[in-house]
Amino acid sequence: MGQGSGQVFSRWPSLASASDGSPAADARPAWMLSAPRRRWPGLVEDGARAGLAVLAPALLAGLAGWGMAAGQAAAVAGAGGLLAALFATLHVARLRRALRASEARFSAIFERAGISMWREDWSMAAEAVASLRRAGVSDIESHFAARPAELRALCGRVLIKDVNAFTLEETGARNKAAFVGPLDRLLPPTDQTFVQWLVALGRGDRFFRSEAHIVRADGQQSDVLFTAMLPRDRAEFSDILVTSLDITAYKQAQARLAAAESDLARAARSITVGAVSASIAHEVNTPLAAVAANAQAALRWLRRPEPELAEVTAALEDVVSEARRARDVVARTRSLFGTASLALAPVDLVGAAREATLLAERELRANGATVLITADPDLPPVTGDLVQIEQVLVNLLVNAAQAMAGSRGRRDVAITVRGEPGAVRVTVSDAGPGVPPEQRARIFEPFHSTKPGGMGMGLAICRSCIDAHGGDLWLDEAPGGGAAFHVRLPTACRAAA
Amino acid sequence: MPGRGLTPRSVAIVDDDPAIRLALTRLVGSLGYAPTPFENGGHLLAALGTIEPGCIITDLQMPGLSGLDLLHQLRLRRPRLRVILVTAYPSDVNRRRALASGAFAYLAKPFDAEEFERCLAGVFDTP
Repeated sequence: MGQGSGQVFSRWPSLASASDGSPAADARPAWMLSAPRRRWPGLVEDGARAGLAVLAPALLAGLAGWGMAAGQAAAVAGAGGLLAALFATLHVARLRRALRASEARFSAIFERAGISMWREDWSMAAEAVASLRRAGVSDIESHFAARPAELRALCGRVLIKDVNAFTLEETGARNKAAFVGPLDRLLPPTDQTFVQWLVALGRGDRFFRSEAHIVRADGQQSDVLFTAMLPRDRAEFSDILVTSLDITAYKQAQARLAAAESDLARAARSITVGAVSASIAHEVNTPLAAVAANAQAALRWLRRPEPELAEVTAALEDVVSEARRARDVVARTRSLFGTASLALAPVDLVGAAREATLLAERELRANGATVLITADPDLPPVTGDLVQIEQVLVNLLVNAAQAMAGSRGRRDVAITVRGEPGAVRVTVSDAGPGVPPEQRARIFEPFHSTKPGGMGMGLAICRSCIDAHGGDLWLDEAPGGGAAFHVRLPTACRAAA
Repeated sequence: MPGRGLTPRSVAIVDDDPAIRLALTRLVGSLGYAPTPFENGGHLLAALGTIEPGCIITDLQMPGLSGLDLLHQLRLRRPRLRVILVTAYPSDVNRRRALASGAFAYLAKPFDAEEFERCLAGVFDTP
């Protein structure tokens, strides 16, 4: 999966993905396979020291009392017992002091750290992932993409147990109750990152890092970067330490930069379009002017009382050659803007749809749109240029999100990926007002725009791109009345079929 | 009307594009004027004195001396000479500049033959 240069929703790569080396894709991580850790080695170690403190005096007393009279022996044994009890008490006291110090140290580190830290219980989520893997589900992301409600329910079973003082400081929350509780209270329904946690768990990553948006107590959304070391042991899932970094200002700056970049690109494009159209106008108007002037001259010579046929012939010959020149200009222009060569490779359309969703993240979020992806299992790849296909899907997603900008209901964008004979079809449908049937053909024409300041080129380019792939792009109505755009691309093995 | 008097009225045509130059020469000739083609403004300026055209038709966009440059030079040397500017890429800015610089007319290629004829007639018939 490439990281597009214009990507705004950054994916922070996990530093350590998978365990060690590169295990087979369907190998289950160690934490799922290991039996719960045995406690007795620790018990033996702790017990040995305590035993030494208690048993040694008792043993010494026993040896000293060997061969003595019963009364003396009892006194020695009693003294030894007292000594042993004293040692045992001292030992327990020392252990408790050490424990308290250790707890205080942990608590001090946790509470006083200058970064927001959360203690979370992920054992239910880990158990769910483990049982999915046991049931043979290897693509966790696709599994949950088809079951959004299940995913959301699982999110509610991750519990935030505690947050540190800095978290309250940073967010202005009055007390820990604002955070403590199920995770789905904090992640908005549009969240797309929770599933990535599950993917990382399922893969056995040592480390997880992801951006997310959380809803603060005052209802405001903020951007955070979550980071956590993931457990190597099943028992540790009940207490995962997650750090959270507020990156709202950073994301805003990033968004402003992206907006400036796209404004700049648009300005550069319109300057280029202006320069190109000026050049084309000049190139076409010149032979046209010659044609017109020659034809008019020929008419004048013909209309004379004694027509100058030699002049007429010369002028008309030039009419023909200049018309040819105009035709060549048009042909050159077409080849200039014709389809650049496609970088063809097998493309997984489900992957492309997911990547496009991430690429369009900023626009989707700005319009409050949620994307649900459903896909048939085991779809064949199509042949195509991944970048261009993703660009088409991004375009459709952004259009879908913008179409619902004024709507009051749910702003769901549904992406469905279905297999068809010899082809795979991706449908992007929205819950917006839809496109009336009489406008459906025109919407793909160049310079036809419904957006203020739009160039009206988006869908025209999409269609010519899909045409170049030997596919189809068309529009009809979604079940709820919104617009449904369909992209059908031939599968890689169609030639052989 | 054309060919009134014994000497046809002389028109100099300046255009770097040979096809346009020839077509304009033909058109001007068919309208009864005496055209003299020049492939650039420098050649025309050099020929002034040898010939004294009554009107100049010049392209606006030309390499080297542009139509506007030529117009400025002619304003200095032949202030009463009438100049028609033609262009394949018309713009309001260029139209304003051409007329402000004293061009008699500003025509966009491809131009309408009637308009062209009227314009030429205007050059010679307006005092």
